[in-house]
Amino acid sequence: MQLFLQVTGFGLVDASILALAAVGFTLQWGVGKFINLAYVYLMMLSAFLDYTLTQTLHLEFWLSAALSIGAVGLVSMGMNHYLVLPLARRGVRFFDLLIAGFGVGIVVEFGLQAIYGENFFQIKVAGTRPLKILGMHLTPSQLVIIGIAVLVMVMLHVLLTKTDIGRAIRAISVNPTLAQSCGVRVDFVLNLLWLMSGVLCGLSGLVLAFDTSLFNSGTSAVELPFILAIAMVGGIGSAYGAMGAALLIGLVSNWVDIVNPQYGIVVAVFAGGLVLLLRPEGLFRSPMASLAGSV
Amino acid sequence: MNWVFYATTLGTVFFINLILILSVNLQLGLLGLPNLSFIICLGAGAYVVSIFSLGPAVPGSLQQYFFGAFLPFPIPLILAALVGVAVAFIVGALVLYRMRGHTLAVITLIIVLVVWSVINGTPNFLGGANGLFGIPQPFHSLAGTTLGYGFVFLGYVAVLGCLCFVFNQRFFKSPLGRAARALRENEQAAVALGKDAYRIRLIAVMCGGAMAALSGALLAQYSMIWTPSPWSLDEVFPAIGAMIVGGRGNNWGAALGTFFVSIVIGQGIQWIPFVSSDPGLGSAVQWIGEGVIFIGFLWFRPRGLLPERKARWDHSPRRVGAFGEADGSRPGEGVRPLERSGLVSDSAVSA
Amino acid sequence: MTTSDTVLSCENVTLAFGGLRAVDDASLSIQRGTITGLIGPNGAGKSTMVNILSGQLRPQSGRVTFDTADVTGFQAHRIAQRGLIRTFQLSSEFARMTVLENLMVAPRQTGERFWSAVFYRRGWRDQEYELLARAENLLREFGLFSLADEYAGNLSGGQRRLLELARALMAEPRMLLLDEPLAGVAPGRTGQVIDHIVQINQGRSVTVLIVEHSMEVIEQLCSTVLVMIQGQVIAEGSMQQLRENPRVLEAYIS
Repeated sequence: MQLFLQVTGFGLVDASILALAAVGFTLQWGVGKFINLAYVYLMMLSAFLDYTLTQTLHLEFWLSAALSIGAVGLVSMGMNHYLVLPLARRGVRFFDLLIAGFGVGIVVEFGLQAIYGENFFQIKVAGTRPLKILGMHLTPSQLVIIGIAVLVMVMLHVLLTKTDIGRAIRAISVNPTLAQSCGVRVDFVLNLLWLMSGVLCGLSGLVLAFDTSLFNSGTSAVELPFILAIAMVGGIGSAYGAMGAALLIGLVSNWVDIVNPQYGIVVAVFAGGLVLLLRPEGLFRSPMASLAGSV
Repeated sequence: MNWVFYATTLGTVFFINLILILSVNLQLGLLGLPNLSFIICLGAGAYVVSIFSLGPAVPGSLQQYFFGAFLPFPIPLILAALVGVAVAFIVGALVLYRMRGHTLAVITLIIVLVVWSVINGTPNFLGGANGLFGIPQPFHSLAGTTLGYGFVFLGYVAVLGCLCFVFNQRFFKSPLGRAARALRENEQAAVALGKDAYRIRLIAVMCGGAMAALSGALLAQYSMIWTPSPWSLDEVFPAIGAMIVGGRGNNWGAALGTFFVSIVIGQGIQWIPFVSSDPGLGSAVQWIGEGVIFIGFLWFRPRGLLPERKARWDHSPRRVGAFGEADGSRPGEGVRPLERSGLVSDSAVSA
Repeated sequence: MTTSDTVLSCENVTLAFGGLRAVDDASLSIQRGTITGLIGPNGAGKSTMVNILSGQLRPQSGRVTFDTADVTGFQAHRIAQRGLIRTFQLSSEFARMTVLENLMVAPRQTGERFWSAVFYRRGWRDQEYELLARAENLLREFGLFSLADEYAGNLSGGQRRLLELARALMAEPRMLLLDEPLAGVAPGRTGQVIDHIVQINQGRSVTVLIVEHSMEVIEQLCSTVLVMIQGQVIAEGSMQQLRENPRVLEAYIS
């Protein structure tokens, strides 16, 4: 029981990191209409930028965090605007766009490796002595991560429901042409969407670095199957679905890891594939949701 | 530096990669199927040829795997190809029935990730993360020296590579290849003419699986080691990139692309001074170079260096004029220009 | 009304999407050798019906019979192999293949079997030349011979329609299902397409079912016309008879 509770605690931490990552990813897939295979590598970019800013340039912790995350947001937005959209306009087919995205990821991953070498790095955010909460031993670091995730999810909810931009995003996810004729500036909003999801990408990468004691350029790559699975289980393009699915998959894969460390990923991905085959709108949407298009 | 030996290694690498790219060209180029699981077939072929020529695993040794046998020369290779077909069949039966386009790509991507993680993470199944080593090489009795053996191995893979090339060419130029292209262009219309999409796709995927497995097996025999690294998801990228550069749907394009990626980029990197001194940096720079070049080709020349060519029939009886009289032109010559321009009009419907 | 000379028929076919019954307990039969029209207002279910008849969609109930064989639920390619070839409303040429190749791919051929294709090429070499000759003759008949080596995607709308007809003929169909064959054809060219359809029916004895919304074309071509309203076939007869049919008039006006 003790082990179970403890593993649940780890599951919550993983779920937090994955939720931040998956929401950005699913928005890019569902609304931006692009499966961004560079996503996990851009996550690491923010971690490395933060490391350089704090350790080499000695900037203050939260400032450099904000700058790194912002940088990844800008890079994501730039990637869509200057690479993906122009290629799509030239008639490059969808699969080749995936390859282009993969290419960007490769360049980022190995660019980081070329610059930083294969060494491991560390970013500390808070103490490492575990506290006991609800029967689980979690470090202040991990609690900070969970806290950040919850805070950001709430902010996202407010953004999507109460602001004009949020409503515009939801309108575009249902029917871009209709949204445009209703006066929504689709291009502008999409750019903003990429910026937002890029920020989530950067944030999740930074948070991942907080959680792993040592990271290098390849650390985030292992998250790719989980993020894909979460997007599929939650419903492609659904932010709320991604949050729910991240919790589900984060917990379940950690529980399964008790049995065998390799099988967590297998179960997660299996679930994703199954849902995609049998219930493509995801577990959390109604079957007509593709018509309603809720984000 | 022994240039001749260097050349044999380049040639060997070329042919091994060629077989893989031909496999990709068959599935992605001819059929338009973004089936990423070919990389699993590559791995499978390598593992099979290894465990069937290494003999049973020795308890307590560094490498542990299931089964194992000491089978004589062509058998492990043949088994490797057969297992490649089997793996391709399983994946194909699972995904080809319903999925198209990017769903297929994502699902096969996930399958690659899962299979890779499981094998990488299970130490005693196929050597786990450490892999297998000491894989025996065939035909050692034919040559005593390293250089001599270099030629033997080159000949070995060159023969297999050329056989695969001929196979692919025949496939592409046959009515089956034609039907495959039609499926790629417009599946609905092809099906409405009676083409069985599932059957044709499954055939292509299975043949592709065999070739990918063969490529993996040869690579394992060549390097005598096999780890999860050469068949990770990342390795899908240069394979597809070779097709993007060379031109998809065209086997000569595939060969050109293979040459460009594995020789020009792969070896060209070694000649940059600051890179060759640091092996880790070298590999990173190679990847970055590939990424930039492939994106560049997608941007500037998405059809590749040698695009797919129009179908032509060389020995057809059609060198008879439009109105049934022999036009006296040499065999192989086109229809007379006058008829083409429509001045001698056989068509009232013009553009 | 199913007689011994019915080539295609369906009985009580139903297909619903969500709550919407696109085809609702519909029945029809086509007589051999005729050119039959299928008309109806938008949303009447004509496209769905065509998809059911040709196997693209599977009905939830009812039966489809082609040439006395029950083909309900058969996949599209199997029905096509039995001799029912359909064309599509949107031009569906194989764009990156040449015009001649478009025709060459249409018929069923030995070279499509894996073993023959790759290993025993002598098995289909002769057939290839036969097909080539047949294809070239068809191209001449349709006035497309000069475009034989042109990519099909580069043709004009009218030429693509003719190509589609010629391609369907290469498959030696017993019946053709033409879905809006004049869509995308310039007005001055439609006569040519119509002439070819007549020639296919009379010269080659191919039964034709044509879905069209232009009444003049239907009147010109079709001896029998079926009318579909809201998923059901409500009337059958010549255009003259239908003009006097109150249900048809009501449906079109209301």
